[in-house]
Amino acid sequence: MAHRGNGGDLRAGGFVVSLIRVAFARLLAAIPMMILVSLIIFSIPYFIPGDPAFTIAGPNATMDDIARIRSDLGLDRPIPGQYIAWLGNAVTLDFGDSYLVGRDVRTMIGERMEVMLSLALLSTLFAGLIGIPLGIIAASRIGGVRDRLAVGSASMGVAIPNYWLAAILVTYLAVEWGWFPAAGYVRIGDDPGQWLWHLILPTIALGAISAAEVTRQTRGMMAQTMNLDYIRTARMKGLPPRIVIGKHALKNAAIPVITALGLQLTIVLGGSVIVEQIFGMPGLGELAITAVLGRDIPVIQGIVLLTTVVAVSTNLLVDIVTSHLDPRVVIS
Amino acid sequence: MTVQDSATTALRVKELCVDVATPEGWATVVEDVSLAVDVGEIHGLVGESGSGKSLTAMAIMGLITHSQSARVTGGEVLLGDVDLLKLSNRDLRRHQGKDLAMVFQEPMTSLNPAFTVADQIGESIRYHLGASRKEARERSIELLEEVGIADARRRCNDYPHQFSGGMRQRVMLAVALACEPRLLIADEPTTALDVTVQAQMLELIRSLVERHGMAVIFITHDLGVIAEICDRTTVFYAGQVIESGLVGEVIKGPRHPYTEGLLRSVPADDDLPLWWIDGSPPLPGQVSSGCRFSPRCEYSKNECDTHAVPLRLSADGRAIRCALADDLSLNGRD
Ligand SMILES: Nc1ncnc2c1ncn2[C@@H]1O[C@H](COP(=O)(O)OP(=O)(O)OP(=O)(O)O)[C@@H](O)[C@H]1O
Ligand SMILES: [Mg+2]
Repeated sequence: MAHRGNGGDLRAGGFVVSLIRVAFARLLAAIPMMILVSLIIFSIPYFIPGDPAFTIAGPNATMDDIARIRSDLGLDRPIPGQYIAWLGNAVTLDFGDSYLVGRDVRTMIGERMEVMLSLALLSTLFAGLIGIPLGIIAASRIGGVRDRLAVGSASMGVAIPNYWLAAILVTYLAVEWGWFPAAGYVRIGDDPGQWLWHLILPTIALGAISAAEVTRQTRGMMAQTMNLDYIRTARMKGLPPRIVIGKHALKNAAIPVITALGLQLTIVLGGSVIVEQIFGMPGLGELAITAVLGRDIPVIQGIVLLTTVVAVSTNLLVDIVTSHLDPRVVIS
Repeated sequence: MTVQDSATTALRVKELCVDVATPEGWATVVEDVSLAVDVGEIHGLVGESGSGKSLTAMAIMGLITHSQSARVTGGEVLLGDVDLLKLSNRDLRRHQGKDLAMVFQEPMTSLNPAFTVADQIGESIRYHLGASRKEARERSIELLEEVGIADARRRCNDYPHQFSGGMRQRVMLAVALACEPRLLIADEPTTALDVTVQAQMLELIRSLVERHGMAVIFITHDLGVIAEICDRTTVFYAGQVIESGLVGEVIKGPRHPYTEGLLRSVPADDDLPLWWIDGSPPLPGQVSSGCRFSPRCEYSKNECDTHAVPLRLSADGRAIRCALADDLSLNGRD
């Protein structure tokens, strides 16, 4: 017993150390990319047609008003200086105040981030919970009835646009039959049950395509893996399918499947804009649309940075998890 | 078949037939193969590449049911009194890995890269014998020591990629031996390894058989290896058994021209020029109705091609599939 505990501790220690090492290496590798992203975010005002000072000042402003606004915003300083100042603020997530409503961008995004994150995480979870088992079942007998059913519904799922599915779900499950709320959002802190209840339809609408994609990935990977020599070895040992598939095949097929799930999470981030609108949820989508239409540059910059950070940390997480599934990666 | 006491016969294969999928449809590549392996005997299957040795082994091991491109079409595989081919998948699994186990031809890919070797050796011990994790681990270490892995207690936590090819094949041997099977099938366990490692591996298998007294089917395409470690041998040609008998007798006095050819192509110590059999064996699905070796046989006569040649048993336990066997006097090796 003592011996086993020891081995476990050692392994756990090794796990944490290599976890930190992998995370650190990936973070270092991400630095050039983050600098590039920050340059792009910084230069957003220069890509958007029209002068924000004019927008803020309104139709009746004088040239003096506009000049004052420009200097308040620092738009008259040399560009490298602007960038350094902006970057200094950006790393503390300070983008200043919204041009349109005058509130702190950090607070505005903070209020709405919960909707986006809830939706993105639940949709990805949904995609994994549906797609992985379906893919495994399909691959356990390629060409069988269940396989054809799964492949059929997966190709259908990929083809259905999420706004259409959202409209169907709202029309029937919410409005017609009244099983789910048609619109709105409840904060998880206020009432977790209601939170989940309000998120079910948006999650399905947003996650269906990802579920289909994950099904296809899982099926493909499992089908390949099941033909490998070590699966034959596992069968030679007389192990039941639950071990042959659930242990031997799954661990090796898991790496691309997890990578696919991570990719889906970033795709879902983009898709959430439309779904939030359809379900009347006060999310970042709405904020982003008003910000873009109103050339509200600080808000746009904040949202772009947030989504980039979510995407980068998702990839980091995927890297860490997959490098731990493959012992060969850790050693090299 | 042969005159053997069933009490000492570990495995008896009767008239086994296996088909594989070819572009032209199903083709029989293992035809009417019969074998008997005694307890404590190493039985060598020998034949050219593609002659059906591995498929015969897979069929015995019950691994063909999972393949979409191969199927067993007839015969019996009797382990003791049980016909493995008649069992349901669930009942078959009770024997696989426990009563019979196999070492595959591909040492580099037959172990799962994602699990430690202790895990993979201990797995069948836990599953078949209900051992605890700790017991299985201790037993894995013993097995690793037994197959000659130095520093086994430490190495057992390593992953397959941390072992060389020869070492992986030893680990695979430990996997196969985990539940002390009555029958071990070793499919060219040394072909992928270099020569010195090969010799060690053969020595290891022989010593394990002596210690555990199991029955072994040893597959190779090298009659020299057969001569070195086997008691009895069965020669395959194009999916058929063409000769079988005690190793000493077959080697000294082959009675099928193909066996003679195989013996002549084993490199000798002296400087005799290396010999080989001209031509190549027929492809699956393209076998003629007569003797399959006839197109390459230097003794071939017209009668060889007209009708199928049966496998004839002689009183001394030899079996020969050659219409001319009684008329030929062939050369063996010492
Ligand atoms: N799963 C399979 N599907 C289709 N054909 C197969 C399959 N396995 C083997 N075959 C074919 O059956 C024939 C016999 O193959 P087998 O692997 O038994 O030969 P072998 O005697 O083991 O040869 P080697 O010495 O090269 O290992 C070959 O022609 C091979 O191409
Ligand atoms: Mg083979």
